Amino acid sequence: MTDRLKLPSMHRRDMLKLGAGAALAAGFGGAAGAQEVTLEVMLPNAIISGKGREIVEKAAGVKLSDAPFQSTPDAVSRLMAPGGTSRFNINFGIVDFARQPVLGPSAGSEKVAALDLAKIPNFSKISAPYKGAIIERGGKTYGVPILLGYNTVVYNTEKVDVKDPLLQSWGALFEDKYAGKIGWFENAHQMIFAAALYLGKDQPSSMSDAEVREVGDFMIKKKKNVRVIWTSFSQAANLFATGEMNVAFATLPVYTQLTAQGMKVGRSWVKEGVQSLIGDVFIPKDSSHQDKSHAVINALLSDEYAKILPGISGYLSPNGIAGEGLSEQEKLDAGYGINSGVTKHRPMPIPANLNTWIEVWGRIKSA
Amino acid sequence: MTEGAWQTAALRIYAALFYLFLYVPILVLIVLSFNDSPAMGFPFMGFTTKWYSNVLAGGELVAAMTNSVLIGVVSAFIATALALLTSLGLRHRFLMKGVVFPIILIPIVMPGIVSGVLLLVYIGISGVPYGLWTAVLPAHITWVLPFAFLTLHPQISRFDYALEEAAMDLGAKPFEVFTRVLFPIIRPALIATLLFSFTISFDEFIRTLFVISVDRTVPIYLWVLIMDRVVPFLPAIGVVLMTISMLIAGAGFVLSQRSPSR
Repeated sequence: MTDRLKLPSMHRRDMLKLGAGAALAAGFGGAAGAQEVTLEVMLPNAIISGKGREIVEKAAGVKLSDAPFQSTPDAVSRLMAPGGTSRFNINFGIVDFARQPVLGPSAGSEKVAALDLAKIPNFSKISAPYKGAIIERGGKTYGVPILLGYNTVVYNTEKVDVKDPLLQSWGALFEDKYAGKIGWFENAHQMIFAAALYLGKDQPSSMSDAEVREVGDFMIKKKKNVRVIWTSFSQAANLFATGEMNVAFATLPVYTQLTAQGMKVGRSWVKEGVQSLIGDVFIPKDSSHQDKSHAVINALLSDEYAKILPGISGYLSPNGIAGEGLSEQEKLDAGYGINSGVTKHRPMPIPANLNTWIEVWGRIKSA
Repeated sequence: MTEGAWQTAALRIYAALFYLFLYVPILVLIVLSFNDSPAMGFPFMGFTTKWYSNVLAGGELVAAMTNSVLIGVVSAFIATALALLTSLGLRHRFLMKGVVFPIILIPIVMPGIVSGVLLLVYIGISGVPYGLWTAVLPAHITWVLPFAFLTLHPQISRFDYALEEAAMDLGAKPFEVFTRVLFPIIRPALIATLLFSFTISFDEFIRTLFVISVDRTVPIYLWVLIMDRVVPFLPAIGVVLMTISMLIAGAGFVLSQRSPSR
């Protein structure tokens, strides 16, 4: 049979060479075309959800893949574990807990990389109240604050008298008035801290073992008023919705989500002081793409992100621009009074005898 | 009524209560999956199918399910193969045969959180990157293997070795003995082991949590959802997963009922 088109003949080896060449070209072309880096981050899911994620990814030119964040102790433990300094590109932790472990006992033992602040121009926008949360050693910066949160009393406005003065105190979680409809949170440090504040302890984190046990005995006595010790957002939301819980200890994202879902909840600026906490980010020292990690941190401190952060999580940004455009009352309602000192708040340094706190909490739960 | 009639009636009432206790929560879950409420619970505030749209349209659940199914299938096959080889090996005498059985069962007796920490440390020390196929799969295999072994070993140990000997006497090579004598007879047990191993892997949470990176399996995905979000669509997720599980279980039942080929 003749070849009417008279195409040049091609041997099998030529075809193989052509195929190999095409594969190589595709590989190089693919590599050249793949500009977007994916960073694996350990950040609270609430702060990189929805619009927040879009802003950060676009500003930093990366794609974020987030690991399941559970708590600061868990995140820091993963950093400290073997292989932890290369596991993620960015880690997060509440500064009161994370500062010491990430810095290590002495210079040179840091688990995280020193930040190049030239790559984080928005670092200069961190306002004064947050400067103390910058993690530094020997003139180098290792951790940067990116959010402020607080814990307080949250209540169902349809089931309680919102003018009740007891709601403006941690006592709402312990006294008999709301017996059977009270929710505590499954966190030894935060719950015992709240009870200690209510009992008039000025520096709960400095309590002796005997004082911690005394607070624990008080909580055991009041446990009969507690409906549940809740552990997850979902559980807290359900308990409020079904009316099983009318007053509860709640973290800020819980309150934010409940209101976003349309539930009628209010939160108090308790007179003893809300529990305030500042979260920092750091770059594990052996992680890859550290330039891009710097870009993400810069994006987390940006003006655009600062404006969106309260809406997606309730947290406040340390960027000085945060709160601009709000009235004074709106600022107070959002929590900016904590920055200005108008709203009483209590930072929560980790107590030296944390083991005693945990032991006492165990007794409280099993009582 | 006679005494026997009373006993029968009591037994029926007991059985009815037992089944109610078992299955009413499932019915409640199905009802709540159609509840048009921002919270995951009663009161029932209206009928809606939007939660199913949310669940099925979202990519996260599909991705998590894909990961769980793939890891489940692969770990089930590997664990079943290892269990089979171990069971076959235990039919013979060898040095320290007595310690093999307890060693295989260690992952079952060790608390999950201890296993998770051990895996976290070991994987970190060995330099293996954390991820679905590098860390999660080995974690699942080590967890599933004892269950696979305990399911398969009784079947293998009861197998009449005389059948294999007869086949060998007739000239069959070892591979032929396995494929034409042993395998057809133990095939239902293998299928049951595969399915059981798959469900164990699919459900695995605590060890996975320690070694997973940014991927999600279904338990991890659900955990993250409920920990930091209000999730009114959780019952819908439950119903979808339950439906898939029942379909797989049904398929497995049909397969295992087929008689082995001769």
